[in-house]
Amino acid sequence: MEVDSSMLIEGRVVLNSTIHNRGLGTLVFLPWGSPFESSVTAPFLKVKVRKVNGLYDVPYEGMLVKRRAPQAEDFLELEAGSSYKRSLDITKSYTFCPGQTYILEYQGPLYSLDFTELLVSGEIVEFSTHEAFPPCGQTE
Amino acid sequence: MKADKFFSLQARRVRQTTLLLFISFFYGAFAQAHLPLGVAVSIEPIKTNYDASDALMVEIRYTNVSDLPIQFLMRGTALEKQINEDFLEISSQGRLLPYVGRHVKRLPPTESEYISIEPDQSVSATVDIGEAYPMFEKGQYHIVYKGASFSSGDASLKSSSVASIELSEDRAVKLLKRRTPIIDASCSSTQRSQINQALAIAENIARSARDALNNAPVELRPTARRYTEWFGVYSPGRYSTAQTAFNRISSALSNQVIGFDCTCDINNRENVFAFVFANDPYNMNVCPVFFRVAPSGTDSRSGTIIHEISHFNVVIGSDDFSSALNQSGSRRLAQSNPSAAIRNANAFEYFAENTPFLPMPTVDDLPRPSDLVVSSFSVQKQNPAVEELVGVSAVIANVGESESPSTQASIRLSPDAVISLNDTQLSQGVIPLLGSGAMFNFDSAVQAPSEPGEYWIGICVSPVVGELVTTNNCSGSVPLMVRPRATFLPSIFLLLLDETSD
Repeated sequence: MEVDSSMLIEGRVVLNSTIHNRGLGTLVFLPWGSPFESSVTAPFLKVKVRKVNGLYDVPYEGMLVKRRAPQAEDFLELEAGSSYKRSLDITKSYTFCPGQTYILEYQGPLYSLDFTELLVSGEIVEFSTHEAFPPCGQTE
Repeated sequence: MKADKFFSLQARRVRQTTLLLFISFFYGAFAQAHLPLGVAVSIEPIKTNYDASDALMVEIRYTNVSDLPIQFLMRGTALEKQINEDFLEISSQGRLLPYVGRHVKRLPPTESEYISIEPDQSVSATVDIGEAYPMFEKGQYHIVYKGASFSSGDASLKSSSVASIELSEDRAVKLLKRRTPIIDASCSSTQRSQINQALAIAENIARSARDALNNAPVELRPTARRYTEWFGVYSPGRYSTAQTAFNRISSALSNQVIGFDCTCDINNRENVFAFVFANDPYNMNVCPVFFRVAPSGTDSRSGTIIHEISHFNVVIGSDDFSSALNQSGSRRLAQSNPSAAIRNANAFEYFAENTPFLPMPTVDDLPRPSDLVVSSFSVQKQNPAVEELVGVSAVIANVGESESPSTQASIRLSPDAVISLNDTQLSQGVIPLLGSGAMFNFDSAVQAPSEPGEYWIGICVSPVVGELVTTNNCSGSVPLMVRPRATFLPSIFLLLLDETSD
């Protein structure tokens, strides 16, 4: 998981995520509400902002979606040893203010076909926002 | 200066202010040391503890700590006597609260909107911070003045103090504005009627869910089938969260305008019922599945509305769990992880839809206890002489629905007409085990008081464990006029003796 630095300059936080299947069999997982969907539909990240007196949670402001129960075709398959990569723009899902340092942590969950939670080791990503981000707390 | 009328304007020595800040706030004085020459701001809660009915008023004081007069615009400060900009940073449990107050677009300022403060002087105003920040849960909140950047001349206004306030209880969710567009133009007329029908049902089932949770007797909650099905093993904290959620959902459905948008601007919309943004109450986006399902029942339109309302941060801020998108998944979550289940939006939905029907206990399900009453009480003689023995009779009945164990009955003497277990005990006796509806005749004799006068007498039955009502365990009172001992015979005798001696 990494934040695209070229996009930060444009005032966007784009997350490049890769899932590797390190196991021996095919990995089947549900992309809903994960970084492997085409848009952010759930708070799969924990976001914190570094302030003078400590770290503060940045609340998720993106959509929360009620869907029908998934069917077999809603799952993705990943062969053993292969990987799947996706870029996702998370700019609008959290408030990112200019000149701040943010910490992103993947908190899942990612589900397999039988809804057991897949163990995903997600690293922590830290980045700073540029002046290109819209100022926060401004009048309308 | 006009502002004199409105704000308390006090001249203070800078050193005094610094000292006060140090006392009032943990590190106020420390923070102030970093201030540039200009205006120092202090925040002072007007109470140490705020309960649910208190407005969250805090006093905000601006002090000129420079050597020159400072003029600044009152806009976006507490001196407007209300919060019109996000000038505070309020956090609780490590979370910054979002600003939900006004954002005001205004004309350029006029001269009257500026205030001037002389060196060492301060102005203050009290504002209701609960109007602008969602402070609904009990606990401690930290307030930092972050300010807006405004100035005239060289003065700068910076954060200078931190205050903490304590909410001693949860507060009712209050919203600042009502959403006017109820149903967006993106919805067809058929969709409008489907929405209206679902809203009416949702209001109904949310109220029933709220009442079912609130009316369940505390001792029966651990076995409340409808609760444990969707929220898992009982805990008082989680049960209370469920109550809070349905109090708020029901209140929102009855008192707030819910916004509906049928555009459904989301990828893969064909599998979507609805979506919301947690910080945007009470607007929801409804999608194709929503209009395909039934108005009531499992995963229905009305249930979806409850699901979506539970997501709003001002309600309970619930989550979606991909493993719990249907009833069986939600049941599994309740069994395996109750602390997740209490955040599961579908759990709130399924609890409210209650299909298939599951019961919640009511007072009628409480075990029917025994209830002892005194059905009659009488004394043989209402005007006995002092220390004279008086016969008393009572009938004790068990009017409860289960048998009462053996207990004591005591004859009580009262200085007033109300008999209670606090009155003087004259005698006591045993009441045997009594079946439901059984009666027992209690007879005894008591000694009248040694002082003549007016008394009241009655009988009390000691309450038994689990007795339904214990305020009916004493009888009414019977007046007892205790007269002096009859001494006229000896007096006459003495009188006769006197006459004889003469």
